[in-house]
Amino acid sequence: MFKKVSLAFRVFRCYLLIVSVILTAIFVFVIYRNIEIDWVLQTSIIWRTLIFAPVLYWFNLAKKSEFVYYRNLGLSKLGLIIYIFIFDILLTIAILNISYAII
Amino acid sequence: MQLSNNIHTLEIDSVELSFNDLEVLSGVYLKIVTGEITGLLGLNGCGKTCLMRILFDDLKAKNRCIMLDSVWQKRLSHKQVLYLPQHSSMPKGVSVKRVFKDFNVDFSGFCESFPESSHLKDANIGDLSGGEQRIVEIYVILKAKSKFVMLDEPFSQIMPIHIEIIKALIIEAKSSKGILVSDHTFRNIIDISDSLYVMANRTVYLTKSNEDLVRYGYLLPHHTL
Repeated sequence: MFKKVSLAFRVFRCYLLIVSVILTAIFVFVIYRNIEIDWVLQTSIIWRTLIFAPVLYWFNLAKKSEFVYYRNLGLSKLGLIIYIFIFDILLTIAILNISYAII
Repeated sequence: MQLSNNIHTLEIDSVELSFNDLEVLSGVYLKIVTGEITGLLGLNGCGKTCLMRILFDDLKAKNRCIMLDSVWQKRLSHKQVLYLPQHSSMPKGVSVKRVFKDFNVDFSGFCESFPESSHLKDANIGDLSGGEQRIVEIYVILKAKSKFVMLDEPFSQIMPIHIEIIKALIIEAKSSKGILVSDHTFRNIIDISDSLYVMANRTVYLTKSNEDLVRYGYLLPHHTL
């Protein structure tokens, strides 16, 4: 299980890094300007997890020969999509807390 | 040759594959058994790679039936079958050491087989030559734990000395696995195969003699084997 999680993290680490930077900037701005945080948070999670993550997954890996490598190690396409959903939600919660801490 | 306790059989049957109106595979049957090397020959574009990808569940066929030890399987797991694709699948950014760790394969064995490549341990896959990438990938796929292995053109980009080593590794691996191997260097395939199939007319034929390869249009009559 841990091996699969670490493999999935390796696949999506670039995506997660980029999202971290963008989300931190958005949340710091939103909190600083006293904008309704729930609305931004919900919109961010819904749009990214439902649209951006699968689309990015598709362009990032599904069409690449690299996917065979991860398949040989036991990661399925469905498994990867589930992992990125989980990573995405955990990351959003973490970044939100960090943003509050920064402000 | 000492075969592990259980002999396993992998069969794929009734394979139908077409791309738009082009029928590629029709009524294909293939059997792989642990302890044997099954060779697969055929013209370019006849569907060898497609057949392997269907077995690996990387390509959807209109119809196919996969059976492991006579039990129908929806799909095969990585513990059952590993696949070496025609082109390198290893991520360029990872190190050789990491690849061996991922597949739980001992690097020292690789150094014994390919002593001139022992310095590659800390190098990134992207920094290796095409041939070096190929031998690393073939080695880990052959040594990783699984019941069956499919090798698509394992001898491409490989220098002659290494081809002999890889042939020896494939023969060694069959003591615990069933191996399906396809390559256009047909003499290498004939050398190591226990049973040999040829693809023609959108299906697969089990060959009984070298003349069959001529009859099914894979070799010309003047080819000497």
